[in-house]
Amino acid sequence: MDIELHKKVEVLTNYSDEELFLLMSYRDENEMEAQKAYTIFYHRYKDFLWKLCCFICSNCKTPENEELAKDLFQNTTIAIYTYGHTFDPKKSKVTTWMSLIAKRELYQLLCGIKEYRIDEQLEVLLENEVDEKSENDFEFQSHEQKALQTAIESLTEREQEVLLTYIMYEDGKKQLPPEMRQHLLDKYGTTQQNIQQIKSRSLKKLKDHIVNHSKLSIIK
Amino acid sequence: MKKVTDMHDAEFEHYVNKGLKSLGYAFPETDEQMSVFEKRIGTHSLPEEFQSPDFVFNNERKAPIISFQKQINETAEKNWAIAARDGKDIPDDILAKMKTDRENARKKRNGNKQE
Repeated sequence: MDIELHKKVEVLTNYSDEELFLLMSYRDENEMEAQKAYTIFYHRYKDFLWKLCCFICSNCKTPENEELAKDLFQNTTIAIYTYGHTFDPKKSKVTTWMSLIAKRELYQLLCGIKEYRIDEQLEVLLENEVDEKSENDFEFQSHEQKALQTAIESLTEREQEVLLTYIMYEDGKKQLPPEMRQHLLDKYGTTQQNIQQIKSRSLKKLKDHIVNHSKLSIIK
Repeated sequence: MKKVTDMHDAEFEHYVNKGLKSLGYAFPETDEQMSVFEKRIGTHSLPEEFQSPDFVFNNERKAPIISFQKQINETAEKNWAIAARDGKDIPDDILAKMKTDRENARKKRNGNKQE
């Protein structure tokens, strides 16, 4: 490798994530430099992102979890390259921001949306979601994690999917986006009212399970 | 300290929401959730095809999985049958009986055609 180029790669390796994103944002002016910056970022986070995709997709009720994880990983890494300029270190750490990008990408894949959404819309969504950083977040103790996990495992497959879909995609008014709502209606051949009943019933079952199987308390 | 039994429904839903995101049942959305999740994430080996980011620069986006859509339709068919039973799942022995009945009916139809 050319000594100057080697030095340049070494220098970029020491760049922070924000500095790499800045270089990526100039890809129209200097594509080569942007690609080098992204390559370094990619190698920094590829294993984390793959684990995230596998973990989330393993909870999707489809026999093709691994294929879905691969598609999700592929589309998310492309979106990260495209939307790197939306990352704001003051709002979240980079892994949280990547998780939000992946969430949008899974939504696109599951709802059968072939056309990618308008750039500006995605930017607004990302900014709003990161802004939602809750002041009411609680300290989630390990015994609580275990209790909640066994509770969710006690639900039927259908209850799990309905509840998790709501948790993943509902808006501030506890409504699902139209495409995701249709996805559930099509899959379970039922009505919107019934889907909401399944959600309520699932939450009640979770609460009953936790109350009956642990002496759980949370720190507020 | 507040016990689950003392929580209002909305408060419990918030608790479940944040908890499941921390556990990785849904995407973590805050740094706090991500910190809990990162401790649980485990190991998954990255496939060989993703070792290099070249596919990113070629902008090779994946379209929705067609067979996944097909699976949805098959599940929907089963779930209409479940819906007709007031939301109760069909027991395994009934499912087996339904399958046998369908096979017998098909054999009978084929037999009639041959005659």
